[in-house]
Amino acid sequence: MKNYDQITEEIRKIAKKILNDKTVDKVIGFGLGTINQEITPLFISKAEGAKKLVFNKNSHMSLAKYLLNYKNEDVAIVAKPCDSRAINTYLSEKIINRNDIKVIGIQGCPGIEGNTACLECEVRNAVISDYDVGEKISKKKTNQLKEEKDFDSLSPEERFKYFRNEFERCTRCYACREACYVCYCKECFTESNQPEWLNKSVSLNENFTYHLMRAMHMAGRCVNCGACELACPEGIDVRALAAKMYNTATEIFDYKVGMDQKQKTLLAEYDVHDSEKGFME
Amino acid sequence: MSNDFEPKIAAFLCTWCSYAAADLAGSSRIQYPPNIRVVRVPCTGRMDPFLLIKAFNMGADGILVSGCHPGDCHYLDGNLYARRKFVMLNELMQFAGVKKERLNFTWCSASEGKRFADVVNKAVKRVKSVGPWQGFDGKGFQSKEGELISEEL
Amino acid sequence: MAKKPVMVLGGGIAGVQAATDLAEMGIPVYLIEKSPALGGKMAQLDKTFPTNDCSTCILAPKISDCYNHELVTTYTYTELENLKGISGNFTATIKQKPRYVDVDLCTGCAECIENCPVKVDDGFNQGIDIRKAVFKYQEQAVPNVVTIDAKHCLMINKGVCGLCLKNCDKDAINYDQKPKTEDLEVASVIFAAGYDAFEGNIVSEYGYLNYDNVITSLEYERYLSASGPTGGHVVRPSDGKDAKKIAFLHCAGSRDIRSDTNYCSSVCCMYSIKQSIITKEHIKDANLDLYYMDIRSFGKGFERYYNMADDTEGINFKRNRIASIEDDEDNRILIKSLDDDDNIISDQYDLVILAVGLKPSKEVSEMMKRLKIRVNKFGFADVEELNPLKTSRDGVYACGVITGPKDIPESVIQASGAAVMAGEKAYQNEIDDSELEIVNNKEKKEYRFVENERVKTGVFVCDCGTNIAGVVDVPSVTERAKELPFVEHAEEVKYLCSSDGQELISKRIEEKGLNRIVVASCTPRTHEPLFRKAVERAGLNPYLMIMTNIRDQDSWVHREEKEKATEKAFDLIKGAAAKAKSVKTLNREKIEKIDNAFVIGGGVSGMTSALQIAELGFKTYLIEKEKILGGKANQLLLSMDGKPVKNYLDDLKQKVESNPNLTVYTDHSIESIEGYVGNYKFKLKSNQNDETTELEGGVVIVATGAKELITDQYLADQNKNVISQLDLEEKLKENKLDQSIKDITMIQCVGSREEGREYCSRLCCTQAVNNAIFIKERYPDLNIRILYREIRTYGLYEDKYRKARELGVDFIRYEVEDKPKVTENGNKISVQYTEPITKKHIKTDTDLLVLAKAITAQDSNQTLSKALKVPLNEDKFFLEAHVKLRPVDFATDGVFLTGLAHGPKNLGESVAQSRAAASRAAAVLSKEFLLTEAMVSTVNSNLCSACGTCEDVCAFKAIEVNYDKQTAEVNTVLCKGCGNCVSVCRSHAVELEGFTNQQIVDELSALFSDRKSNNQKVGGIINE
Repeated sequence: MKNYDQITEEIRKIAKKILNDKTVDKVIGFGLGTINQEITPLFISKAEGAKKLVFNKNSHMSLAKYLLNYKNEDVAIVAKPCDSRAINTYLSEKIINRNDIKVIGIQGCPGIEGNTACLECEVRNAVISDYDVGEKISKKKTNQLKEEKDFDSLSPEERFKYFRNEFERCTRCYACREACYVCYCKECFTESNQPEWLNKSVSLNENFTYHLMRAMHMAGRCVNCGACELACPEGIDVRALAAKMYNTATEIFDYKVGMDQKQKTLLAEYDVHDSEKGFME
Repeated sequence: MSNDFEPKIAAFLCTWCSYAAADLAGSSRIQYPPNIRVVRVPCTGRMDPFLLIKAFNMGADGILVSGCHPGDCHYLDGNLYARRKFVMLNELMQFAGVKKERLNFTWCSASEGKRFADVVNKAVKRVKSVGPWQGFDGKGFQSKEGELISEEL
Repeated sequence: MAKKPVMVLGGGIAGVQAATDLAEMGIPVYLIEKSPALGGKMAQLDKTFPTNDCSTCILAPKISDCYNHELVTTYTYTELENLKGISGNFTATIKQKPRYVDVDLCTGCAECIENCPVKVDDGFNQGIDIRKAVFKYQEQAVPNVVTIDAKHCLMINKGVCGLCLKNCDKDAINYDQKPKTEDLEVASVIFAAGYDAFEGNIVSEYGYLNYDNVITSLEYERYLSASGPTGGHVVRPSDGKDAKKIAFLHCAGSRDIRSDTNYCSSVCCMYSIKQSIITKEHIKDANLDLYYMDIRSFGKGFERYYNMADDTEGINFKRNRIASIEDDEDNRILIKSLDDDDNIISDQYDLVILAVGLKPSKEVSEMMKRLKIRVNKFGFADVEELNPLKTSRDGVYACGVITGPKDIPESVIQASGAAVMAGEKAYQNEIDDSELEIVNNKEKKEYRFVENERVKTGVFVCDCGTNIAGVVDVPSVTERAKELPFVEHAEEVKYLCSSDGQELISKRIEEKGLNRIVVASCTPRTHEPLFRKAVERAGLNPYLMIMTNIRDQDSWVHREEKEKATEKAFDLIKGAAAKAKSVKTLNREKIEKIDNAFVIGGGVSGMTSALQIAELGFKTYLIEKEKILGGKANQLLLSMDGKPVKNYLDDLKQKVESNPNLTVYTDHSIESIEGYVGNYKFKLKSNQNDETTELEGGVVIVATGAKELITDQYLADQNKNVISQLDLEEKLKENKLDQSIKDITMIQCVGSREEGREYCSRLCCTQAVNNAIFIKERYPDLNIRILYREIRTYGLYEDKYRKARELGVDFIRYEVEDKPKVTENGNKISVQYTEPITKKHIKTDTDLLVLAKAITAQDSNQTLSKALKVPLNEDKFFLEAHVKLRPVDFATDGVFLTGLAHGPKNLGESVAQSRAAASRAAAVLSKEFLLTEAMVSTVNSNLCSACGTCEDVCAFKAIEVNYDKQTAEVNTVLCKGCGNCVSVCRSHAVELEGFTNQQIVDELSALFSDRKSNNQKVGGIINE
């Protein structure tokens, strides 16, 4: 596994080359902000700028979402394994064209500091890539499902209590939504008034409802990247429900989202012999 | 909890099989508890899981969803798509702490009037066993007059 | 001018299908059924093979569509007395038996039944159960009315009792009703009179009359049915105890030279397999033995079904011959049987089921004879194999089991086929509109514009006599309904469905300016059309009426809990009123269409379909990739019943080529297909000169045929003395069978019924037997042996099998694990096989080896399936919309299927199916315009992100993404209104009219409006 600096160097080299030979007009990657050297998305269109690109332990955000701003332009994007799956999802949802994008795929991702999702990551290599950086590692399962196992030992009452405590702090700022790559509906269900899926009041009943609906909305689409959790200003465990959906898809339907660009979404297909887990009788 | 708790269950029935089964229970005069409130839908494939979450949001003590048996769908395969959604939703709700007894998914064909009554009996029993739904906030619901109709356990 | 009516005799699945198809072609129909309700035998079935579909679930919607069709007039409890006149001008005399009930008044509430003191055996439940002297033929009877059984009614017989009348709120009982005779003028007649199951004692040795625990398969079907007398519990009739060990005796009365039903009943193998599979679903540890001669799983998907049963533990197939059947003191049945080696095997059973066959009912056979319709020696209508739907009397057609034993899909196929032929007569004999009582209500309705009005809801609560009001406190519910939001008016009505009740609704709409109507009464499944019409009469759009069911789903099921039932009724009304607030005016759109038909494939199937459509007067394009018409039939010598094919084929080709409505494109291939029902565009290319032709049409029939398996098994294609059955027919046809041939061996199932091709090719057994007979009759000294796995000369072809045996053809069974071995031996072919009884290996030399090669799907099916957006099955044959009830339709409207492209079948069956495809196509073509459903999906393109998930889940190809506009679009002609696309749309960009998210949320919120969340403000609080 290569380290952050080695990967950074490789990204810069590739970016420089493809901007030079006009393969792409723009490279979307990570850079360092002016204040506190914080990680920030960077959009490079000149080869000289490539040296500004970095990849470090804080490169948490999912850049994939920026692809939506550059539809029909030739862009390259730096993609962590989770981001690469997000890109595949976009391709399968036909939101972007494969021909328009080049993926600088990070192989053997060293992970992001503080992102608990990385501990559960079982992919570790970009699943779509035009230019590999880093080096592939075997898909060793890390501390997969560590979080969930903890939940399993709790009773329904305890879990209910846990989530109530979490969602009580929610101010419905929707930072989790904004951070999430799958949230690109033109009108969010939270804003719909026909019907009013959610009451606008910030009450626990509505907050809880919001998080359930968000998880269901992403069922079979969430790649469990952890961006939502990192984005929450209240430190709420906003990933748990979506992660549950992610794991359920794998366990019950043997479905892994974003592994292939032609994949249908989980709820748009079925098997005649699908599980009826939890049905009556 | 008191024994006279009468739950109110939102029951979503597809028009071609399960709603017909409910009608058949009626014409056969098979008695079952009056705790369900039926919402007729053309097909379980129409069931957006949001509607089921919303039912709890609005105070349903439980839900019952019943469609045509796999293979019998009037629209060929709507129930097969629905089945996946229900399994996912069921897992989600239980994970979040909603008791499994409140979540009732099944199939009833148009000739299964008796089975429909059995299903309702069973669902009502299940929901009764876990008491009134207190809302996602656990604070219970008020009747229109402002009186608390259920107290936190 | 209107089309002259057609009469359909028999209200089972075949009759219902024929009537509906005719009505869809715009032809008025009189549907005559002798029992008190529609449905026939299929209504008595629990499940259907090979999909285990619930019979009621698939049948009931079909019946109600038929019964409610404005062009269908249904006469139940009615029989045909006489048929005078000639084709085009028949006078049919029908006699309606008195049911002692006024059908217009009876609401089917069944109060009379509960109060009737007389109990008799229930015929519908095969006498397993009891019913009353006043009874409903079945719970879900259509029409939903009661009938008094005059034989048992005390009032009618002895003048005492009268309880039913006393308990009828509507005074619908009339003990003085008399039989009613009526003359109907019709253009043509379809006999769809069904069948009788054999009597249980048809084979007296089986002890049906002596042993309680020996029952017939039809009786068993009622035991299995969830709505049957035991609620789906399998029990011993003798003592009601669970039955665990069960024997099924196949061919009970069929294929039995001692009986006058010496034919194969075609369905018993499959229904026994079905019953065994369903039994295993009911009782996990059941042990089931099926005693059979040959398993005849020859239909589409049957072989897989058979294999599935065979692989199930506890389902055992025994090719044993029954020696004796007795019962013991515990009523257990002892069966002694002989196995292949003539060992006597004894087994004890809790229950023995006789797989009884199908025969025409005696009365129907007699009637046909009386009406100069020829019947065969078994009493079935005598039809020609290659014109299988026409009887000997001109203008009289037949379909279903009345023409010979067959299963449901084939009956449906024949019904559709007979409909188009009978319909052709109706087209040729138009009558003045005024002569017709059934008026096709075509004037355009103008609805009041209500979109800018304040919502004013009228709530009508029905008492249904005491049916609702006896349990629900209707006055209080009505009072409370007045207080609901947007409710302008609420009213209690004794019988809303009566004409007074309906008029009242109309009157109130006008008086009070109501613009939303809530009807709280019975089930919308039966009464929605009625109340929609009532609302429509008052100038209101019918979709502004919402029904809620406070009878079937409330008062009838909570009789002892009046208060709670009242509360529930009020909730339901609240829900309906809330939903009503957000419903909109909906319309069924008229879509222009093109009246031409495309038929792809110029074999017998394609030609038959094309000619039929052209004869109805529609322009038809017949496309064939080869240079000549005729397809596989060009090679055929004999039809299955042994008639030369050539004459038939020449005649058909001549008709096709001379029909002015029909344009034939031989030697053309299809370049592209675009469009949808009503608006297809084809681009054809000539194989000669690459010239292209562009054509337009409204419907497409797929008749692309199939091909013979290409194989190298048994030296095929390697030795000139190894040929296929088709090659043999060509030789025989041209008299080219070498005089030196003294010994012929035929091997059956070459490539069929084995891994990779898990299906029976259906026609090869009969084909082999026919060819063998043909040869034997000409060269009696020639040796013929047929090596077979199972002889499947189903139906009346059983005669051929017997004849071949009589002529000395050797039939030798082999097992699939031990196939014959074939080697070259000089000029001869050496065949080695195991003799089934002695187990000896026999080696014999033969002059000619004839292989029954499997019928396989065309390679081009893949391309065509993509172009037409229709599916293929796992064997690459085209897959119909529903294997049971829509055998020639695709899920995609406007595309139909026939012949070998659908699956293996013989020429006569292809002809029937091609007529059926023409019939279904004609239903589309004959309409003035296409009418969309009112409740269809709509897309809000402002919300749509064009992800295509909706497109993925639509079974009807009715929603597609338009990538130029970046939005999904609904093709309302194709949309069936299931709402599958709505629930997968994560952006909520798709809505289903009539069931929008807003409407359902409103309904829910009203149902739970007594519960209000505390909604305390939270957020940002750190708890610890």
